[in-house]
Amino acid sequence: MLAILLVLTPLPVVYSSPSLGTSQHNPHATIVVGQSKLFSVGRIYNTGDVALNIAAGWHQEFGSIALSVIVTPKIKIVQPGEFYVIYMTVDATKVGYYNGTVQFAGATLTTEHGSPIRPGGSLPAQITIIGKPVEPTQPQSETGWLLYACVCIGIGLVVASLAYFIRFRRSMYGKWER
Amino acid sequence: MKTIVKYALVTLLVACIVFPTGAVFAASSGSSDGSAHVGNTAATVINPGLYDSADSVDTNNTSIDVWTEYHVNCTVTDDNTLNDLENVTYIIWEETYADEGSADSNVNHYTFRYVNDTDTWEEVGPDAAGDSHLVSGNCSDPADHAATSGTFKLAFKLHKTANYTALTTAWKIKIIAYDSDTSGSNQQLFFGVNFFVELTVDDSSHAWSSLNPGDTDVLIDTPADGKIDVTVTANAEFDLQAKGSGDLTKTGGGTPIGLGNVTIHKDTQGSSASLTESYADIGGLTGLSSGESQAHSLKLWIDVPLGTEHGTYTYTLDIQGVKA
Repeated sequence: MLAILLVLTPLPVVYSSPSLGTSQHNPHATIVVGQSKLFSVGRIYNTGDVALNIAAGWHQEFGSIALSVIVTPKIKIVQPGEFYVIYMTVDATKVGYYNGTVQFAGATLTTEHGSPIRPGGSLPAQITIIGKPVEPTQPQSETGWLLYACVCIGIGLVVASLAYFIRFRRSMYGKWER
Repeated sequence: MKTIVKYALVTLLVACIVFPTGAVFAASSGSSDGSAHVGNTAATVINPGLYDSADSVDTNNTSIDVWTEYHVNCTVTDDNTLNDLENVTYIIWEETYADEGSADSNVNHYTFRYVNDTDTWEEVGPDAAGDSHLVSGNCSDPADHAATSGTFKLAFKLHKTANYTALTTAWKIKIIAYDSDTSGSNQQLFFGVNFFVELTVDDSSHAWSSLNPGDTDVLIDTPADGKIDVTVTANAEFDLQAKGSGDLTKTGGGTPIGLGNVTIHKDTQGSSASLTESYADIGGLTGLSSGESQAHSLKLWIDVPLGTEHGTYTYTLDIQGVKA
């Protein structure tokens, strides 16, 4: 029986040592619905001896809807010894709790033969979207304030009139009743 | 006559007692020696602040990154002028496993100093020989040391293994200004340290060079020792995780080999688990201790389904470290 020879990645490999450092900022952001917010999720360091092309993206793990997230920068070439801060911008469209990670991996710029192994990382983020705060009910215009004052004065006049009427009645008819 | 002599002697004696002898000599020399002693006043440290490298973001009571430059700014005053200072010392420590007087260590204790005599900044420890945590080019002291106050700036960075702390108050900074006689200190700054992990892939490629359909549990033969080496530095306990980019696809098209046919473990095929497109713990490589340049390795095995076409198949393996 003729055996079918499978050759997986038989070509010469590239012996570089890609290396990534990751500092997690682990943000817990609170955003009012309808607004957007930019915040840092971590710092990425190229700690190896070769330049890396680092690609990043948002991977949501929890939440009632898919969040609208922009990761900045999404792709960046980083030289050995360099580092940068990675940010995410969230457009808050629905109240609730969400979490996930910004995942990234660094590929060498040289053509890798075979099946490459990339150093990567995950930067967690938690987002809470809250409703707009309710404003206390108050007259909203000058006319409103005027109307409010008139009503108060009117009520005061009615109360004063009633008090006066009761005293007057007592003074006029009190002796007869006795 | 004797009476006159007696009165004269008594008068002279009284005069000697009443009038100081210095006055007699002064009158005879026509000058006066004098001295005024000014005492030492203690130096003080005021307005301490912890900032980013641009001095634009106040990072006091926040979590900061390791291996990243930060500044400690403060004003030092000394009524005897700044020339009276001996040094300004900065002690930075993490209170969980160290205190102010602990030995310097990459993990939890640092000491820096500005020395007035030599007008230099130095790292007392932990790297006294290399000053690797002192950014001396960005440190500064007042231009005029004849003044009675001025601003000092320490530029420093923590080591990659500086302890991770969830609390933003676990690390302390104390600044002490020593002068000739006494000292003044100020301890108002504190911060936390973010989790840091550094992963170096020592073997950046892997392969099975000769397979046949129906083969099972075949260990990689590139690298030649059958294992993929990685080096990890972390400032807290961590797990190593891996994922595959997707099925192993054939160059030129064709039916791929499912990613689930590749299994991974630290060293034991029987305990290995299939790769997926989401990060998952690598068996045997979880709950690893913090530390610097730790060598770890992992192994991969493959099953080749019957009916697989002849050809070259590739995919990408991603590895990461996460806080345990």
